[in-house]
Amino acid sequence: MAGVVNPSDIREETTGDLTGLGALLQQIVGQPFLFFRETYGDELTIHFGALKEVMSPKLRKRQRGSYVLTLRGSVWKIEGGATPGLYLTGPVAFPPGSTSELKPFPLAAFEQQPPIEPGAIVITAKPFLDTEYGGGIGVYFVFSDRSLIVIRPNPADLILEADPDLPRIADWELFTPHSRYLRVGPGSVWSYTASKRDVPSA
Amino acid sequence: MGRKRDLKQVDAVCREFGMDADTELEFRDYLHECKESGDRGTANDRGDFTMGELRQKAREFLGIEE
Repeated sequence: MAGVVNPSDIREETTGDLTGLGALLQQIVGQPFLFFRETYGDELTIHFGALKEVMSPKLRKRQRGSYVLTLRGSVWKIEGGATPGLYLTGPVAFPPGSTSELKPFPLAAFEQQPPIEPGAIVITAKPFLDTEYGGGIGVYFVFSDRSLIVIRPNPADLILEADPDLPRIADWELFTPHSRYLRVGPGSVWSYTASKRDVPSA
Repeated sequence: MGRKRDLKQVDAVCREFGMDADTELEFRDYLHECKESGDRGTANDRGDFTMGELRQKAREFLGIEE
């Protein structure tokens, strides 16, 4: 039996249902990796799919991917395929006083020396319930050049919800060419809604 | 790993200005490009922006005249 998912359908905020989330994520399988981009607040974004022009005339970098994965404040690991290397971030990777094996690698360097081969195809995209990190939703991607990306919610958020005057942010997001985006976290909450205001809900 | 407080501040300002998610995604890039080009904020030594500066940047980005 086959099943069908319409990537233009809206999915309002949901708790759990990793099967449904996993089905929506399948749209990125088969898409090529394009590039990494550092953005404000030491956040890394990963671009996939086809190159497209940005909307804003204010931006100097005029192109983005048709799919954009934003890592927000999550912990992540990237394992190079063709070029060996384990790129780590977060409190687990950097416990106090133990950096002898880890060399600093600025985010900007991901743009010039990407550990994933440009053009490598996403062959697996799978969400998982991160029980070690308190029940948030992580995700991993495997590429045709044997590269790997693992994204996990930041465990520090479980201890204390800092900044109560500010909105809580997602653990990761995936923008799609269907004017929809996946917004995952915090916790086990996710949604798939319009990313552009003038697009009517399906 | 992104710094959550900075990311939350940007989200808060985007909500104030009614940006949709696609616009917010590009606004985050705009803020980074401003810093890269030397147009830095005064919140700290890294050149991050204060809430007031973020609001000003949002007006610049959206073409809103004061």
